[in-house]
Amino acid sequence: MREPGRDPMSDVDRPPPFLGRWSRIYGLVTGLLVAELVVFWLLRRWAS
Amino acid sequence: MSGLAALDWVVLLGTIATIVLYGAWRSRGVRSVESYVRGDALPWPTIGLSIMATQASAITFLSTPGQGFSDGMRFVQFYFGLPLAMIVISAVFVPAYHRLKVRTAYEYLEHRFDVRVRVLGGALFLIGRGVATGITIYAPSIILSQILGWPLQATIWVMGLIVVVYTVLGGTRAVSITQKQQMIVMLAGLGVAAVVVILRLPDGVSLGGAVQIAGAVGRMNPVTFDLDVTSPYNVWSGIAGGFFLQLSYFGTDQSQVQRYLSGSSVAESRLGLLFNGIFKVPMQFLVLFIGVMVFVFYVFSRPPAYFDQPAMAQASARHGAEIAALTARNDQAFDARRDAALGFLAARGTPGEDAARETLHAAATRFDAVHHDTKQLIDRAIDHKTNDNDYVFLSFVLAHLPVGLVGLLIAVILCAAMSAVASGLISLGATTTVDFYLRIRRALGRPPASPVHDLRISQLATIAWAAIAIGFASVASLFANLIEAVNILGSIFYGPILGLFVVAFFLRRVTATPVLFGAIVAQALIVILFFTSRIAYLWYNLIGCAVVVAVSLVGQALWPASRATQVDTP
Repeated sequence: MREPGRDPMSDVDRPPPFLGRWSRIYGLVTGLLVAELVVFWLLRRWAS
Repeated sequence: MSGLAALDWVVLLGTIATIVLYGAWRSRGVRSVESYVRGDALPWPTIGLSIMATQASAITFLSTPGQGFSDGMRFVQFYFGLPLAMIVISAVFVPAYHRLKVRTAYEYLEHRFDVRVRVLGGALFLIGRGVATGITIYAPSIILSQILGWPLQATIWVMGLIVVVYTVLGGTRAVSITQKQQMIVMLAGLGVAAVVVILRLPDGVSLGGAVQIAGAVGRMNPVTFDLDVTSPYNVWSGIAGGFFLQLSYFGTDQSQVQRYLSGSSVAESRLGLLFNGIFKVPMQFLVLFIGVMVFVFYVFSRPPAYFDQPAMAQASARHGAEIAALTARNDQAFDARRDAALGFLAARGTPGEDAARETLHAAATRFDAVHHDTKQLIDRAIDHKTNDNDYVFLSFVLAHLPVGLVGLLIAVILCAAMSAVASGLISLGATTTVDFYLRIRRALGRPPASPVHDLRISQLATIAWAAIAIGFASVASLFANLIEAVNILGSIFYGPILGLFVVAFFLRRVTATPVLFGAIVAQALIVILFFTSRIAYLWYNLIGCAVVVAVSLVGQALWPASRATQVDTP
């Protein structure tokens, strides 16, 4: 939520903090991707 | 005349009509350009499914199983960068867009740089998306026209007109709500197709056996680690090149940005994007896996010598004897491959397994060579390139799915086509109105017009882009591979657009003129590379973005005057 009276243009070119309370869900998404890569690699090895 | 049964028609028309009417009813009452462009506070499940539906065009369900059929699973690597891109967009792009309450991604560029950069970003988008939307209508129309028994032009116009009606009446909200329903139909259809193709495998061929047959002939290759920049699909190009392509597509392409800007908060937009990040790779894996299983099905069930039957018929009319000879070779090669597959299944777990695998691989290679010869002859006979892979999945659906489910699967393809076209049209209309029409009015000092006037302009812009897309679709020629054509086109424009946004978000010192120069240099370089090099197209995204960043930094250092206009924060 915006702070009262704050000009939204004041931080127009300031990158927001990359991590924060969302870091766990970002970690979950990354972890699932890594798990998929491992499963795909195992599947390929098993099938060929 | 189509070969659809009455029940298939009921399922097909009932599904499409229900979704369109429901979407139109739920989104009635659009009265301003704001609600037309932004939608109204949609929840994250709708946003997530809408994002997936926007990307999943009909081509996904026509071309991708065909790619699995002929080339195996390696195309799934194209999507490995997507989850990482979703994280970066959620963390960086979404808060910035929400904070400034922008209606288009390019509006942000003016806040950060100046109007020239906004116009460049918007113009690159309009060119790329305008052409891509035409392909999105054209590609499935070719195949659907054959199935439904309609003329190609009529199919293009019917599909275009249905989409434009509900898009123009309900705006972004109608697009997102219909996409949610369409995505549910698509996922259900995919699940049904996967179950049916596995159940259709012959007795004695288990799912495990089918996967091992696919592996023996090189189709089970979802990860490949070869470091080759000319190879389109490997882990490295998927994660690096794919990351930049997806970052650009989801972060800066208005057809996607508009989806998550319709969220009521940063959290809703983020959850919608991350939903896509979690489910996209498994969904693409499933689509490709269905194609691979269709391949195994046709190892045991005699396939036609060519799935594109109209092309085959045309070629037979001119080269009947040669086609007959190739058909006979196809039958012999099929018998040899089937016997080799049965031999391989029997030899599993025995000392002869490796030899049986080699025999199967050699038989499959000979079969593929016959198919290649058939394609060469047909292309020569009808004087244009055909792509048989695009017909594989639909041929299987029409020949081997029960009545009713055929209608459902064709509804899936139509839903996918409509959802992608709707997103394209609404975003083209929004960008034209917000970034060009309204901006030009402001630049000319005109007073704001009434909300109804601006709404009508947005609707007219959407209709105009629909006319352009339908016109393009009507004259487009067939590309080697439909989904690749869209992705290659996107890759040509996305790198420089992404570069603009990367500089905007991460390089605070860089001002408008250097980044503008950088984007023009990068776009020119990508076009030159496209025509002169063999670099795989996914790398264009990384190269284009990197060139914008590098030239911007050098330009900023060499262009002291531009610092005077720098927007900065305390």
